[in-house]
Amino acid sequence: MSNEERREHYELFVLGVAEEDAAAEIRGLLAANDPETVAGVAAARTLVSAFADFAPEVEPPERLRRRIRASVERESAGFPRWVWAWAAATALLALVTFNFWQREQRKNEELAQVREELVRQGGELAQVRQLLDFLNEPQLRLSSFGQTQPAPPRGRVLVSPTRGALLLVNNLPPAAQGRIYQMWFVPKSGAPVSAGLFQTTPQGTAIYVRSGAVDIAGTAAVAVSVEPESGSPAPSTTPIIVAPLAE
Amino acid sequence: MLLPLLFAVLDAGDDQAALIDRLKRRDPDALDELYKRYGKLVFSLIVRVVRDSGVAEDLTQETFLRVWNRVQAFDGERGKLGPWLLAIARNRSIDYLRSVDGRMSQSSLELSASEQPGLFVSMDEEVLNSDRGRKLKAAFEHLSQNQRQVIELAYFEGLSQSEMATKLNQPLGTVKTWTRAALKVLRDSIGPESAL
Repeated sequence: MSNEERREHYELFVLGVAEEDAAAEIRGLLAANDPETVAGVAAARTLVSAFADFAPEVEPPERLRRRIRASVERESAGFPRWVWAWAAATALLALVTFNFWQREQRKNEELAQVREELVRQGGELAQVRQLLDFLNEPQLRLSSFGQTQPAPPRGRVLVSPTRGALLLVNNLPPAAQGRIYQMWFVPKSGAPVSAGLFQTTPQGTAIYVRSGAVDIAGTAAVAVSVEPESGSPAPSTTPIIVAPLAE
Repeated sequence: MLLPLLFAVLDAGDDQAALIDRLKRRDPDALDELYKRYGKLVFSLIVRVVRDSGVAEDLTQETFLRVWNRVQAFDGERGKLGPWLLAIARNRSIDYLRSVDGRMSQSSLELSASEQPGLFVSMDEEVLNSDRGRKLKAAFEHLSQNQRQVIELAYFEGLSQSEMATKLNQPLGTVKTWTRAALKVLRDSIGPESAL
């Protein structure tokens, strides 16, 4: 094949109208990056691209430019407007739902707190009623303690032969970790008898009721000692409160 | 005459690199600018091929959108945007003609392959100037009727030499002679830079 023939094939190849055998040969040489073929095809492409000028001039309508521009502006703008509107509505709905859910959560939490408060107040009310019943007891015996000590736990013990004993104490810090206060009935003769365990509030106060009949005549005093958390069968420390029951 | 427009836009140089960069950054104004430079040329080419201005509008839009969608693969430093755009315009038009004529075949695949952005690098920088372009146009107008006809059938209708021979009712050898002679005249008209 002469150079002239080869050039003609490059141009026909670029035009896309080369015969199949010639096109296949050029494709093979291009794939092998043959320098002469690469340069030849590039030159042919340069020439052929200028053939567009052989077409008679025709003015395109103005609307075509607007149409092309609009088609890429839509793409550049991303999703259609209705998608953004839909997304915004969905986001707003999600926000409202979340806000509503948060309010519901807050209400539920507040409700739970109110319930807890009611339970606590119910417990306190029962305790107050118990105290009032106790104080209405005609055979009540009263004893005070701590009045003469410098920084003592102070308070009163009320003992009823039928209802039991009521201890009212203040200025008594909570027992240390692993320890607890234990109340004792100290008989006139014999070993102290446990009257139960209690703990004071952080403010140092306690109202403790030991229900049940009490042998007032046989009891010399009510005492309180610090004991291990599970309590003791007998006082293991020196009592910090001793309230004698007057005859 | 489209020549001044053709060579003004095909030889834009650094300005073209900036335009390609903006197209790659999806700037709609860049596509608008590309249309201002090439729109008339592309539309004229497509009208000549399909001979229907309504279809030509659709194909022109498709051509510019194809550039918009494929420009990421285009070599902004070495590539020649004009030849690439015109190749796409021609291929879309000939594909349309073939689909109307029932001539869709593997040739359309070849046409698509011939518009790969990577093919439009290492092209002759100097050929696309107005002086050489005017010479090319003048050479085309001075071709014999048969020579001009085979160039038009090949470029605007995408016919192979065998198809031209059938259409013109001429021996294949005669068509090859006309084609070879026409291409030599055109090639020579733009000077030795484009020769091998």
